[in-house]
Amino acid sequence: MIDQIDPFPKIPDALRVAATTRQLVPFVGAGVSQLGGCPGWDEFANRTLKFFVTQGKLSHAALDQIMGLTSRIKLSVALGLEARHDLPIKFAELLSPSSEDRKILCDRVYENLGRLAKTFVTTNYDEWLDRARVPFYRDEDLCMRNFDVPNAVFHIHGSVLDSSSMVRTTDEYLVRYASHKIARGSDGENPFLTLLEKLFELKTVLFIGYSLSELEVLEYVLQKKGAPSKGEQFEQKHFILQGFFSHQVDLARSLKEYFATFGVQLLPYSRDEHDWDQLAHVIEYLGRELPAGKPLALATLREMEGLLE
Amino acid sequence: MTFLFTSQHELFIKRMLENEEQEKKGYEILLTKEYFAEFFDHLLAAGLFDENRTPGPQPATAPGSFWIPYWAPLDYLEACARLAGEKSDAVLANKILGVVRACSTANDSDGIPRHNYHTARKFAEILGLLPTPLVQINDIDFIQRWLSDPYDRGLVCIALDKGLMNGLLNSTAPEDWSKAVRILYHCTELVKGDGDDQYRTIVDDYWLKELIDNHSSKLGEKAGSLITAVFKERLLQIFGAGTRKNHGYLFRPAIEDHPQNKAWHGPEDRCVEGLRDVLLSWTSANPTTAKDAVKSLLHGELEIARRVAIHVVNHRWGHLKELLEGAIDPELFQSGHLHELYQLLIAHFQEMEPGQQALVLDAINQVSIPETTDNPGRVRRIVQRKWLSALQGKGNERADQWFAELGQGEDAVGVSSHPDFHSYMESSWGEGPSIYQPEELLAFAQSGTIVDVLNDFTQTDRWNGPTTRALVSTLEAVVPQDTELFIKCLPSFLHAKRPYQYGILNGLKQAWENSAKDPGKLDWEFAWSAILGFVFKLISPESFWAEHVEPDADFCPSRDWIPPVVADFLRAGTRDDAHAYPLALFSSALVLIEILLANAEASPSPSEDPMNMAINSPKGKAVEALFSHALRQCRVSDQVSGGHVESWTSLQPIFDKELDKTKGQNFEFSTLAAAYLSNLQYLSEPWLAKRIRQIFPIEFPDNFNSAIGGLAYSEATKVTYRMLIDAGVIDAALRQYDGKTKLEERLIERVALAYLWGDEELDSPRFSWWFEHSDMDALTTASHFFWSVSKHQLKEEQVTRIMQFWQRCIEVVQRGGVPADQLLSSLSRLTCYVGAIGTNEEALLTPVAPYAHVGYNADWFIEELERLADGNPHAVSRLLNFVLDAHEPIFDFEDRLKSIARKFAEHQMRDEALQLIDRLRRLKGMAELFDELSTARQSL
Repeated sequence: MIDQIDPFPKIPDALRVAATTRQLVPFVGAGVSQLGGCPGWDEFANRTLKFFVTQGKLSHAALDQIMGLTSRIKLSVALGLEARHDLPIKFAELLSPSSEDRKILCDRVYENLGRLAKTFVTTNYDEWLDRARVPFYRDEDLCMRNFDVPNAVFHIHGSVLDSSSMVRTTDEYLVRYASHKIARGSDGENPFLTLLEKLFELKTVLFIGYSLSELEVLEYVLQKKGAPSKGEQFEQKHFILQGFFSHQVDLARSLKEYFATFGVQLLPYSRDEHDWDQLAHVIEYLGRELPAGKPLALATLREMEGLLE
Repeated sequence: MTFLFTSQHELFIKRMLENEEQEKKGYEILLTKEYFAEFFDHLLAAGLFDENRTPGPQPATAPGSFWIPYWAPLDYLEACARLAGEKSDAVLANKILGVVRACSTANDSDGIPRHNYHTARKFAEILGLLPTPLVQINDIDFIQRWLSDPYDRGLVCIALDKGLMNGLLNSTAPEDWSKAVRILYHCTELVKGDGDDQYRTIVDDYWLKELIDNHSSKLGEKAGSLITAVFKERLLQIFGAGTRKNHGYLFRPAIEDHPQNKAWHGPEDRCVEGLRDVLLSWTSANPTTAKDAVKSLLHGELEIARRVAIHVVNHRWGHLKELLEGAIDPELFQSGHLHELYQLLIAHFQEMEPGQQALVLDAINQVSIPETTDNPGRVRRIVQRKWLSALQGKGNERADQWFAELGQGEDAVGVSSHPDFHSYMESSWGEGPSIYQPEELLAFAQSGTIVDVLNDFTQTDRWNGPTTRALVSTLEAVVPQDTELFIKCLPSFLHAKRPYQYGILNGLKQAWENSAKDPGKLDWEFAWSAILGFVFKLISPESFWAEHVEPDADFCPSRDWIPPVVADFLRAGTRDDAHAYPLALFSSALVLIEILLANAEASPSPSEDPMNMAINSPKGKAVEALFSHALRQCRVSDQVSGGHVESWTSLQPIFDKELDKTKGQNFEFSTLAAAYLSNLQYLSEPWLAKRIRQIFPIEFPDNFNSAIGGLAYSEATKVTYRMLIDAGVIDAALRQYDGKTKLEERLIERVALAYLWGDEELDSPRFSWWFEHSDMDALTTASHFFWSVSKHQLKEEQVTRIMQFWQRCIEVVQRGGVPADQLLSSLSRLTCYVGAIGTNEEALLTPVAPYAHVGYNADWFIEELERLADGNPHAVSRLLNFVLDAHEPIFDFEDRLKSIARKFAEHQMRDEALQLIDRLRRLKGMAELFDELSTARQSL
């Protein structure tokens, strides 16, 4: 029961154990990069369209009409323009920090984030997490083969390093998250979904940097991880950090129940003092409180059991 | 549902390839899944079954020793083989066979076959699980390589015995029977032993016997000809030359199972029994084909094979008796055939036709005797009568008459107890039978004739007849049954022979000891008076002591046995105040003790084990009787008059006299005076103070050493310790016994005890010497002593002194220069005195923790850490890591390590708890504890 929202979330025991046993995998959303002035999901879609306005390929009037559509449709339109005019969108530029101060802040945030774990998953296209890590973003690399590569980052929606790897349109989403049978026939496998399933089954996931406006993306991921069995529905081995204002206690309570249906426990923190920038403080706090433990052989052996489940 | 091999399964196999632990775990997990066999191809493709992964012997910690690792896939392969067999899955079976074949030819880099008896055993089991038609004769031939393992000679054979042999012999396919014969061929391989004609079987004899016993019957039935050829070849190999060729009976006295066959002739026995049993079963199953084989053996070159054939004819007479008809001639009656032919004649001579019986008798008549034999005529008669003993009484008049004639007249010859054997061995033990039973001796005692009866007995046959020793034992046993009767007879025993004098005294002593629990009706005051009177008359004459005693091989009591039993008897009468002879007899008894002290045989030289010598020699027993008497007399004086000065004054001359003799002799007194040191303090402290240097005479080393030997058994008291220190005894002994472990240890313990009493200090000459000279052995002994008294209630200051000693030891160790492993390990046990771990305690514990395991003290140390974990879990974590860095426990004794892990978790040290568990994950229960402590999921 959430009675009040503090600046820093209470750390559940299960989360501490997961960090100690190196079972914790942070699932990083756009909210973290936004601390560096990078665009959010909707802003990113808008910027791609504005890119064509600046290039004289889209009128302001047309832009105004399109702006009311969903992010995914806006991105589809932008990609259509890119193809029609043979004018590659400069995604890396669109995702760059807004200022040097913001970049410094974001560097520190990602440094703190790096203390939590050795493996990261992100839906972000940007390169913040790639420093000193092995990035996997191509379709063929997002599979169990790379599951235990040390210091790895899985860009499950692709990376700006290769725009063809980026999942942006509805079509691309459908292909990436297609179930095994649809994708490969009755005896086939979608290795990406296997990776996702096992990630949620064998590891403890901590969602960081997902705003309420991005719940759609999150739901997609959570639903595809495989529905919990009847007995498992109350087991909450995964966690999500979410910022609220003090007056949003009721909303926090409702979301707590909502996430619980996915086996995810809400860890609320207060935005009263620093708004979204409070996330930077929370990550610093977690990096201090939840350092990744030494690798444990027993954890690996237990994971092996899970691989045959 | 169709199994789908996915990317998660690929990762699983990848994990298995990472290290041995994960590979082993992988197979364990796989074998819990119904679809385990679906992984076979993927595991094979990943190279997990490659022959170069099969491990050979690995060097062990001790130089020159090895350990044999267990190859992780073996259980998986076995499970797959079982499945292939159950489902007749030829495809899977052939894949498994492919692995077996490849791995069975694996060599080391230098080309030497890589042996591993675990792998060989499992492969043998796997062959037994697969469908027999798929197992090729070439696969069977791998057995030869498996059996050549230098470290095991049984496991492969056991596997074949219980598995493949049954499968092959239960098959209806003759080619499978041939494979079974091939297995026997390999398992019966003979290897040259130490001597020229010494053999051993490649398989351990016990397991080979099991294999042959379990399968020879079916082998004979189904593949009689082939298996007979195998055993015949082996027999020829072992009995075909040398002594065994013509004297096979020396190595196999009887073809049937018989106590005269000796277990140490394993190779001979296995070959003979194998051939015997397959021929018997073959003849039963198919006499027509078997008959030719038996006939061939009966007329063959090899004597042992002919004996087997005779045995088979005997036991399958109905089928094979005609084989004998053509064989009866003087040659058949050669000595090598004795046992088997003798048994055949006993069993079947009566059934033979008269003509055949006549042939037998004619052959015996013409039996050949070597010309070189002395008195060949007599030897011939002996041999003939031996054969005839098998025929007599069977209804043949000629045989009976001839047998009788040979046993009569001047040239009569006898027949041994076991005429069918060239030699017969038997053994027995014990003192033999007694000519009289207890009730008979009682009757003789009642009639007053017992001494005459006993004296009249003369032992004549020391092997089978009644013995004097047994008669003495019977007398000893019967005396306590009617002690009063024998007290009455006692005077007559002055005329008994020495063994019976000893017997009655020992019997009376037993009766006295028994009366402590059950007094009975006997008037022991009267009895003791009679006994002391009898003993005085017995031992006071000089002739008693001058008597010459011959050594007796039968260990029969003699005069020499009497003084010790008298001394023991007198001691038994004074040792316990509640069960002692009366005060009035003190003087009589003391006279006897003085006679014993003066005359009892003393050891002429000192012993390496003075106490053992003292308590077992006649003189030592007399000295012990003296001490027991003196102590009793003084105790009685204390009770009667409140002091014992007067009593001691009467006894002192005897002690003075004995002590004066301790100058290069009387070692028993030196030893026992030191052993009774605290008793001497009681008898007379002034006398002891005055005489202490004489009891430990440094100028007479043999007596000094004897006394130090006795001191080790004496009770330590503050007064005697001070006397010993003041007299320089302890210092002299420590110098003298440096390195002589046992006695030195006892002395060091005495010093350590004095330290606890406050009578020694760490800067006293003793401790200073050990610290300055880094005498690790002495310090270890003292440390061990301090631990040994931990169950006692020590005072706080005594515990403090122990901790100070520990601190000084650490300083000595840190000075370096001398190996200190044992001392540090011993010090680790002093952790029992640590109440809580503070800075000082951790400084003491840290140096000893890595060495706790050296003296097998790790379990104790961990027990103490577990006790201390609640108070300072962080320090315990640090100390435990030091222990585990140096020592890997093989089990968690009383779950103490688990308890420590739980305590860490309870004290917000979950990281340390999980890391500890992970480190100890191979110990039973750790994985479960890991799950318990790492599962902290929350519910709504």
